[in-house]
Amino acid sequence: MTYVTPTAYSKIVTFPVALAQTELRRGKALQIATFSVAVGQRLQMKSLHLQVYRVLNPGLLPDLLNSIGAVSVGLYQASMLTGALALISRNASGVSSYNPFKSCEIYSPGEYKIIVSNNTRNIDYSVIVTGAVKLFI
Amino acid sequence: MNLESALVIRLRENIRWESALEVSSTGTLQPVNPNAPLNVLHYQQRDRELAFRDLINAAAVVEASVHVSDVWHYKPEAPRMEGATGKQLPHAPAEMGLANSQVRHVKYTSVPADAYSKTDRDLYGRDVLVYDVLARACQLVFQDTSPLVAVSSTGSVPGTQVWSLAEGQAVRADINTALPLDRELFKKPDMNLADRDNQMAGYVSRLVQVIKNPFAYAERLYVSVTGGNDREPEVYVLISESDEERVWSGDPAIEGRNRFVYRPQTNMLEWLPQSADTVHVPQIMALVIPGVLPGQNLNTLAVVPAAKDAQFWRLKAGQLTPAGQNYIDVATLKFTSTDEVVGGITQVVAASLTVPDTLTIRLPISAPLPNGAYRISVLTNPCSTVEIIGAQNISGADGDDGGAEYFVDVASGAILPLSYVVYDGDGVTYNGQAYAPGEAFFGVTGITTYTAINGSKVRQFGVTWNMALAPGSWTFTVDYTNVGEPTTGFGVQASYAENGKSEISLIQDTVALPFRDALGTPLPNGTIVTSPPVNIEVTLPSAFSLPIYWTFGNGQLSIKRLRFTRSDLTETHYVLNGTLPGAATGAAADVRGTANQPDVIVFDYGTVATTTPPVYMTLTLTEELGLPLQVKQVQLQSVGTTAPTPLTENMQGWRQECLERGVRAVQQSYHQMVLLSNGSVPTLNSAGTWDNSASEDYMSLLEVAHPRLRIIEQVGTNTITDGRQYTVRSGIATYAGVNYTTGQYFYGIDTGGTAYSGVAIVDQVGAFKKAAPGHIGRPGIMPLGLKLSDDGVVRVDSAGSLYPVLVTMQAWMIDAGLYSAAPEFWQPDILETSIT
Repeated sequence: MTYVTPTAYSKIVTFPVALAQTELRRGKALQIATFSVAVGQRLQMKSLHLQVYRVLNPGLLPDLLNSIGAVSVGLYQASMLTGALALISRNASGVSSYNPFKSCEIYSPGEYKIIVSNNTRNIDYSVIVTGAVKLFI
Repeated sequence: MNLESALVIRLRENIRWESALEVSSTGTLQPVNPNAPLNVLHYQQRDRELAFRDLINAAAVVEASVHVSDVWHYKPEAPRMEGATGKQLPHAPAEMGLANSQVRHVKYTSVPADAYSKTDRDLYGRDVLVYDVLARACQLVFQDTSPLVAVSSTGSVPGTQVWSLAEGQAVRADINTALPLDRELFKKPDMNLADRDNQMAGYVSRLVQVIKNPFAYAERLYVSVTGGNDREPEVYVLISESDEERVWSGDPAIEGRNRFVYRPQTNMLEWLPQSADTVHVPQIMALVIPGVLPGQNLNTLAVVPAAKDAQFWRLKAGQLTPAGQNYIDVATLKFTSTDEVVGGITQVVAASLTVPDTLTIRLPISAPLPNGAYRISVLTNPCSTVEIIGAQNISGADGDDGGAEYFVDVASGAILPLSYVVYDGDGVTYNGQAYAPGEAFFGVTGITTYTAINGSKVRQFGVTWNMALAPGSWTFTVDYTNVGEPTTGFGVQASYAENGKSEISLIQDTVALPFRDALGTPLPNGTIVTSPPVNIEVTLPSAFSLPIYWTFGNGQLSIKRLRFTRSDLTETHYVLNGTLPGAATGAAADVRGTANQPDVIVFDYGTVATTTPPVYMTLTLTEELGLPLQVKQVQLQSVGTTAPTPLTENMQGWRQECLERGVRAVQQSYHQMVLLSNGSVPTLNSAGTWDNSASEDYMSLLEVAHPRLRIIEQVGTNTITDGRQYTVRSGIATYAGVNYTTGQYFYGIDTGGTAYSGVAIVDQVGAFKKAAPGHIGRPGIMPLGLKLSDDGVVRVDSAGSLYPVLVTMQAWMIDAGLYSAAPEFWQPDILETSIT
């Protein structure tokens, strides 16, 4: 659309993605958001941030369960953690952000989930996730 | 020739119609018979026709001016006209006098005939001169798209830079029978005509200056690079102008680069390429100038910029490299139900792991893998059904379409170590033993003959399959058909025996498996019939044998498919390990899969030593026992970190911008295709479902109006299509009589035919490539109405459209054979926190 008219604006719904500081135990995954896309709608994600706030049991080398980093958050259509449509991950404390210049576009109807996971067998993390998803109705 | 001296003529805004009269299409003026009595009206008509020719010249100036504006986005001066005329000046050489712009006006000593034999002819020549100067300039520069055609190619209208004013004066006068017959009667109208010619000469001289040197005026340039580091024609827009220089900038508009600079005072043209480490030596202004590399040319095209396709935007996207991790496709195994995969259970659609087991997968790599980091992505599908072809048995039975055909009427001398049964006659003697009709025996290696009594025959009795399933409740069905004489059914016994356990009957031959219609008529051969489902309770996760015996019935039994289905599980936890030669350690995957939902598993290898082919990857399933896991495609990618294009801060959105422009070009092509098909777009899918074949048909449909759409690797030697672009990946290919070497491009042309020759690998060029497992999360293109239904079948929504949209690739889209955007459009998922 060329202009953001009141009519056009009313058809854009922005959903926040927010996970306050949470202890994510080894091998655990948390589904923190679900979006339903119906026929004719479009889901767009450009903003997702993962902060590994603290390593709760430092001094260990991560024993990884998967090849998607020690801690990851992603947008998923299916159930395997390795099959993310958009994925950001970290191996240590700090913040990683999804590339806002790369738009994740979804037109197919279905259920889409934001899942944050601890992909190690031996380390616990404290994590924070923020972001936003737009649904064009 | 350019009539430079006419530049000083002060122009009026419009050219008046006055008393102009349309001239003949042959260019011939009203004839005058000097031997007949004087008729001044004839002379008047000639002058009026000459005035009309001035209007044609004005129309030519307007036409050329519009074309210059279209091409270079610069609006030259053009006269306003009071009416419409044609733009092509008719020319009758016999009417032309001097063609050097002077006019021999009538004198006091002239006779009326001098007006038409000298003055009118000179005025006629001036019209032609003005027109031809403009037309030849247009033809020289615009060539095939020239809006004007010169009336003389060479010779008859010589060039000149000198324009005579010829006593031109804006005098509104006509030859009138009421006026005295004197010099002024003829000369004043001729002076007025000379003045009109002067005006046209002034306009033409200015317009020719623009055409000769567009760099001094153009607001837009359309430039291509050839002869090395080729770049397709692209638009450069004027961004600054001063007395010292004029600067045009192209996309991406990087500061100080991707620019053309023209310096009017020195008449020099300089290119500032995108790469900061190459310098272009300024050249004297011309439409074609040398570039940076030897043999390279920069071509300023005098055409209206063409609409760009997705392939153009792919090339543009690739001009900027973002910082971050990148993945390069190395090899993809697209079909795993082949000899390239060993182990597990090979199903009809893919290799699979039904129980903890190992697949050994040969990757299609012909060159050594350099050391580095790699990723293997595997497209999987946790399936609730295991379906194998009949020919996948351990008894050596095979047949058409993967069926297991039971041998009939086996000749003596052809007995193999298989089970056989005797029928007809009075029995046979084999290996010293007698067998009556209906009795079975097992062939002994090396003993191939038997003796038939009274016409007895031997046919194959049993075929055995090996299978392994996870413990649980399964249902078992068989697809079968007849490939022999007509029959109404087959007596079949089937059983299975798990290791160390007694045989359990699955199918009894109390009643024949039917092969007839509702009226009892035998079905036509090849008709597939599915047996009623029977239950199997599997208790051990190990291989078991499953023999199927054909006990009675005419015809020839062919088992097409064996199918095992479980419905008690909707998801399973999988723990896998993947190894790659040269990698220090394997890579693990711990995932949960959902039934009939394609998904992707990735294995990263940080350090892989140089590996020479053949390269085998192993995939081992260690846990758990549940839904079988189909392994449908395997892709190897190299992993690296790219250095960003220098000094491109604030350009991070470039690739996404190019991607969206490319998809818009495809969408416009879709509309064109719909128009071309008169709104009746063909149906691509049967019964609303969608598969790989439908995806290929869809791309073919889009290619109707967008030839450079998809990349097809290694096209066949007889598949060149008119309008599509190809590149030689290796070797030398000859097409339409021209040799193309590695890295060169060519277009298919109608006259060139469909075949190329030579030892070469030729790829079709496009902006989208067949999606592979490693493309999950990458941009791609899809029909708007496509969706994955709850039953795992891909369908077009009932109200769905085939309109192409930009999507993020999901696993089921990869499985359905859709296309993802070329790697030049890819961006890293994670924003780098520092940009160099």
